[in-house]
Amino acid sequence: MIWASLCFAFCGVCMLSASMTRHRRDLPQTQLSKANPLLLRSAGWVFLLGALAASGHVWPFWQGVVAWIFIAGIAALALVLLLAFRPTWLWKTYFLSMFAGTILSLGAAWMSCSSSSCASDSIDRRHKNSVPKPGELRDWEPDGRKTSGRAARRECRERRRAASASCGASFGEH
Amino acid sequence: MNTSALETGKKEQTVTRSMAWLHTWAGLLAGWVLFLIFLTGTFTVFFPEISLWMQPERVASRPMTQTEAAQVAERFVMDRGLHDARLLIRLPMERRPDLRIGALRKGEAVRTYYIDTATGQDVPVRETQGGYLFQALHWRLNIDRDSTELGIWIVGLATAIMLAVLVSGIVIHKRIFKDIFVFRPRSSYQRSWLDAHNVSSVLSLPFLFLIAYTGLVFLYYIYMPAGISALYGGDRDAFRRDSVFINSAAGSGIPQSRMKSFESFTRIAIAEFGEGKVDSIRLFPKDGRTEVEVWRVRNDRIGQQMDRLVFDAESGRLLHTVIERLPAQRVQSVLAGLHLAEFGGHAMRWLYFAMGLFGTASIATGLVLFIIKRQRKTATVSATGQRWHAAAARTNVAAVAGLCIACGAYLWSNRLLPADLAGRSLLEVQCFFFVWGLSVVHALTRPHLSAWIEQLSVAALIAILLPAVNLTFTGQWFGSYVLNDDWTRAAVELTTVAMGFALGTVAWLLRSRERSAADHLALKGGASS
Repeated sequence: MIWASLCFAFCGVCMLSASMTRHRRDLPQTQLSKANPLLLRSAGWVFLLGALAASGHVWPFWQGVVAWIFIAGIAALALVLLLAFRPTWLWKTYFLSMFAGTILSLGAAWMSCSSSSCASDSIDRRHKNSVPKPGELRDWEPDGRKTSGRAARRECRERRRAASASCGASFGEH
Repeated sequence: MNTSALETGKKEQTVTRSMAWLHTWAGLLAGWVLFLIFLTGTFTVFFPEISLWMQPERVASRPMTQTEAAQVAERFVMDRGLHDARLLIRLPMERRPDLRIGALRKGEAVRTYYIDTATGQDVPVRETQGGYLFQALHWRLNIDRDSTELGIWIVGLATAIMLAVLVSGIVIHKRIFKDIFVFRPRSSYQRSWLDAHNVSSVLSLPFLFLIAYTGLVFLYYIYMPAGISALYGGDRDAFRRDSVFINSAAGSGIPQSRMKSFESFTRIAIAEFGEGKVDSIRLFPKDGRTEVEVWRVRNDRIGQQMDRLVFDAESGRLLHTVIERLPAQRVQSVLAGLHLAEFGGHAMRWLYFAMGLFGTASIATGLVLFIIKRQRKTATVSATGQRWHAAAARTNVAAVAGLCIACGAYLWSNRLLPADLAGRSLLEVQCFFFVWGLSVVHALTRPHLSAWIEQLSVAALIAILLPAVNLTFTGQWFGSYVLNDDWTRAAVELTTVAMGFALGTVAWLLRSRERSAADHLALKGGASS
């Protein structure tokens, strides 16, 4: 799915660049450069959102958003280099490779989403990411006392006042 | 109407010029430090992996559960009588495949044991700072934090300047969206470098903002100490004890025989956090008692909350939990987590690494651009100005290419110095700075462009030949790592080689340009004669 996300992002930035007047003349004479700019721009953003969805499938939502920002940057750099150097062998198959990449990405996304194991893994991961509630620990506490972070903080402060404990040297952690 | 339009135009022009001036000079002066911070920060993304490569003696743990690993650790602690020391037992994880125990007794230095879980004994490992040097350079310029916080403050100042440079860069780049895909490598020299600077900066702009801002927030208690001064009288340790519940060790703890097994604590923690979610077990001997903390992993979410369960070692009773957080602490921990990049697994770390390289390239191209823009104006600049430009040009070479050589030399020194040499850790660091010093001398003595080409070539050679050096001195190289399924060490070497080829390509491009310029001059000379 990471590759799918990269491919979606690449297609998205390709379409966005093709919608810009400046880059339309840089693009080869393909259907892409002849298409309606507004349509291209819309399609580009749809693809970029597809990349976001794909990365959201790999990582929990906010991690996926962070990853998507970076993935879009990398995809855009790939396009910039392609536009700048135009390697003939790649340029000739530019449109074809982009189309194939899109189909493959969609196929990969569909297969990944329809696979129940993957979906359950994703749900499982999200579940595990949730922070356990302090109350969940009550069973183990002999006196059944709920100790929250705030209570612990108060306790810590009281202990600090009671005894001036030295922290000792650190283990060299950041 | 016309007058007002003219005035507005004049005002805009002034603002743009002011911003351009700020971007240029703040970018240059902070750029040298920022390049160091960014390059070492990029390496820091993989600092446990670099440390693993730099200690080839370390062996990966055999597949085992975390409770089994806790049992192995307990046996080792018992055999060595370490129970009365403050202990940090790190269980095997994805990024550190071995069991590690750090022991600290009062008045002594921290002693780290790397345990071979197959035998239960510690493995003699070469002394090195490993990837930690890059981390130390990244956030405190390797200046000892205990003696002075100067390094942290310099890094903070450079980061704050970077934020100003980013904002001013956006203001002066009027066609930021139109130019977003523009890179013209075959255009004029200055135009090519300007495009390279724009592309690398604009495409990594969200990352640059994120990393600069979170870097400042990360060390908020140092950069904004007013609150701590007011509430704690400046006692930062007391503040940290209260805010992140740092435990303390005082006196001697209970004897080993009265202590509950580590396994029992680990079992409870696994039930709470989940299988494989226990990061470490920590022992804090106090006066007549011992506290055991079991920490949760932090790599499965953005926030760097240090969740843990605290037990009494003798009764096994859960004393308290550190799980809930105040909203402000949560926000800070998420921002710190965004900077530390411990979440999201290897894929996310590679993304951070790639973006870090973008950022580094952005700074390097900006530094080069400063000199290129002024090369044409040399004739109109005063003698002092010319001297300043020459000094800046040479500093650029040493700050960019010289640092790359120094990083490579640090990795080489790890293999070249005998593994059992006393004080080799310090020697490795000295090698780093010595080689960097040599690059400064070289940059000062050689013509500007030649200095670039030579230093980049040396940096490329050092990086490309690293596997050969490794093979010669340890009998290991990325081929053997791949065969042994040790992809972490293989990736470190392969990435270094790839970076070597990238540096070599830049050196080759500069060399071609130098040759074509020389040919052009020769042709001109021939025509005029």
